[in-house]
Amino acid sequence: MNYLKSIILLIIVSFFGSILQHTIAHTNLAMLYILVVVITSILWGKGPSLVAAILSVLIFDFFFVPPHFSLTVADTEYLITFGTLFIVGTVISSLTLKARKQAETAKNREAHTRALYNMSKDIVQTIGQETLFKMVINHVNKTFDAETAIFVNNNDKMIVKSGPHDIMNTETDASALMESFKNGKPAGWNTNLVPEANVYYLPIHTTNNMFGVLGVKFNKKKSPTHEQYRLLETFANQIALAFERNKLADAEQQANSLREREKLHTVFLNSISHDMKTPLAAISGSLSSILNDTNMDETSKKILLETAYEESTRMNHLVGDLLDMARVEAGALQINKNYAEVKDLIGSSLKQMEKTLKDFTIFVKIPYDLPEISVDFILMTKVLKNILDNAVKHSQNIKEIIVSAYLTGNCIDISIADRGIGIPTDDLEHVFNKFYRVKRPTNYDGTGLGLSVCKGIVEAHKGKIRAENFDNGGTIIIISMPL
Amino acid sequence: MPQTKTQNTIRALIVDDEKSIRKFLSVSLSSRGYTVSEAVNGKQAIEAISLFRPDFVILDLGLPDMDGNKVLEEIRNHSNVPIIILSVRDRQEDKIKALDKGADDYLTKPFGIEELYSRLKAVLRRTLRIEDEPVFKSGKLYVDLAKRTVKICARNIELTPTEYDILKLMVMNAGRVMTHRQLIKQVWNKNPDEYMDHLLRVTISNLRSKIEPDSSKPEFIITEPAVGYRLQNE
Repeated sequence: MNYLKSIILLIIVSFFGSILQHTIAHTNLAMLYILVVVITSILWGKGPSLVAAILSVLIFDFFFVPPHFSLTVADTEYLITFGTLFIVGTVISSLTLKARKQAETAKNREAHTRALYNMSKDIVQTIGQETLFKMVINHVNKTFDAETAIFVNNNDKMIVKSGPHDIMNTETDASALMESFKNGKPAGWNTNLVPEANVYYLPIHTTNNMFGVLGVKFNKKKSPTHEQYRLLETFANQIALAFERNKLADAEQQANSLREREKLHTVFLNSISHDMKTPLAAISGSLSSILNDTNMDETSKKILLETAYEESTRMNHLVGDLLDMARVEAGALQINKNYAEVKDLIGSSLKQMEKTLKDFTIFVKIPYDLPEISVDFILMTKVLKNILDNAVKHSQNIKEIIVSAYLTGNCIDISIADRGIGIPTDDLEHVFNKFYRVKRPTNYDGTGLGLSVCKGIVEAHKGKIRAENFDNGGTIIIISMPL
Repeated sequence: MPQTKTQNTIRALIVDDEKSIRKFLSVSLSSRGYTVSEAVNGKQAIEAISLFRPDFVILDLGLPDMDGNKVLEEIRNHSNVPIIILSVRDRQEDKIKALDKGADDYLTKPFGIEELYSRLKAVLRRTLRIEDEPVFKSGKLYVDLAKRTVKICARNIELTPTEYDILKLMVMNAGRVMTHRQLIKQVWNKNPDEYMDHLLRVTISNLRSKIEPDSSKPEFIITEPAVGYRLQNE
């Protein structure tokens, strides 16, 4: 086709030449033919330009050099013109060809660089192995017009980690894949190893070992160029790097959470050893002084015994909280849901707290027609009791607690409001965290566990818990339970 | 095992493998005038029922030789002696199981001795009450089973037949935890299911609104979370 084009161009030029042959010099006419050769070499490549050079000489000789319409030449000087015409034509054509080739290579290289750049950019922005693999496969498919899958080794069997599962569907392909993985070399289609396969397999090496194999099924059965293979290898390297980076990031995250946990453990131990030892010291101190001091009067004995008893109650509380926390933490919290009246829930919590609440005025506001909720009765009373206990601990002058329940959309909200010292606004969010204790001028006893246990239980019910400040001082804890 | 019989004291059998618990209970109960015998395992406990003939049993569930529930069953096979369970097991299933098997009450360790005494008194008051004494009084609540009348502060209360049946059952078991299953079985003669549970809750709720001064803070019919109800017996 390109030959035909160059011949047509020659004919056109010759036509113009025949019109102009009397007005311009023959040597200049020769220049036109050089132009044809140059154009041909730029546009249509080596073969056509060579043909154009030879034909130019012949046509020039045949039509324009006397005697016309004969290949014989009257004036031998024209031989120089022929020679120059031919040499200049071929030299120029080979030069332009070279330039053209270089331009093409540069263009390819640029495309490759761009493809690589795009992929690396995406790799950096991608988090998570799955998405990473999908993204890489997308890039390979787009760049090479191919179908791609990533294979990894699983118990001596290669399985598709990401990409289409049917890409490798023959025995030959399976063995090519295995060969590639075992030898760490490319295998399959268009290679020396199992060339009968349909897919080209490229191993993915990480720094220390073999990560997997990239299977590429080119849509066009034309051999990829050397550069394309190199680019594919670079892609594979990028995948390996990204994979390692991802693994490192995961490890880093794990290390971080481990550190966090260790920190928490330290806080935990500090807090626990203090909270456990204080009541124990009081108990053993009180009791040992009663035992040792035989002359102690009844009143002192009673005071000491009361102290011992109170402290043991406190310790019982702590152990209970710790056990609850451990259950919540371990995810071992068994929720035995049953329908219950909110009124009954609140009523029996108040009943169980009777002693603690004896100095308090309690207002209960529950609408008559409130629907029942499905909850674990024991755990939910535990939540309410913990909150009531906090309310009592943080009340000073006004000993008043308002418990109310109401319907809000698809939830029943239970709120417990006290008129105590309140929670600083900055702490509102954090009071449900483990061991979080609001900094107070005076020491309030508490483990810092109660509210976090509440949160654990409420969330196990798919509910929500939050703290707010009361307008005129005091705290409101609101539990929102789904119906 | 003390075999000396004091005719007029109440006899208590303590079944627990923990020495400290046995000791503390036996000291406390003795000082209140009870005659106490101890058993360290299930076998001893079952023997003691016929040998010592206790008026009530305090039973731990975690015994070295056999499970407390098994002991409970064995005792119930031939004796109606009141049994109070004292256990560290605090799951509702454990409570319901023991109560359904015939335990009279259930306390979880650790517990205050006052709590134990009040439960004990309630259980004893019920069993020691003479059969033909049909009048029950607890605070402002007055129930006369013979005349089918219920009064609060001398004011007559109208109850539906079902409400009355539940109250009657609770009066006859005053102080004792009645499980949901027991109530549903004995009042409706049905097995518990979602609907019956609901019906029971509604009936209790209605009953409370009639006899409780403030139904949001019940004084007479106490909810035993996830287990059942108990009629306060004072």
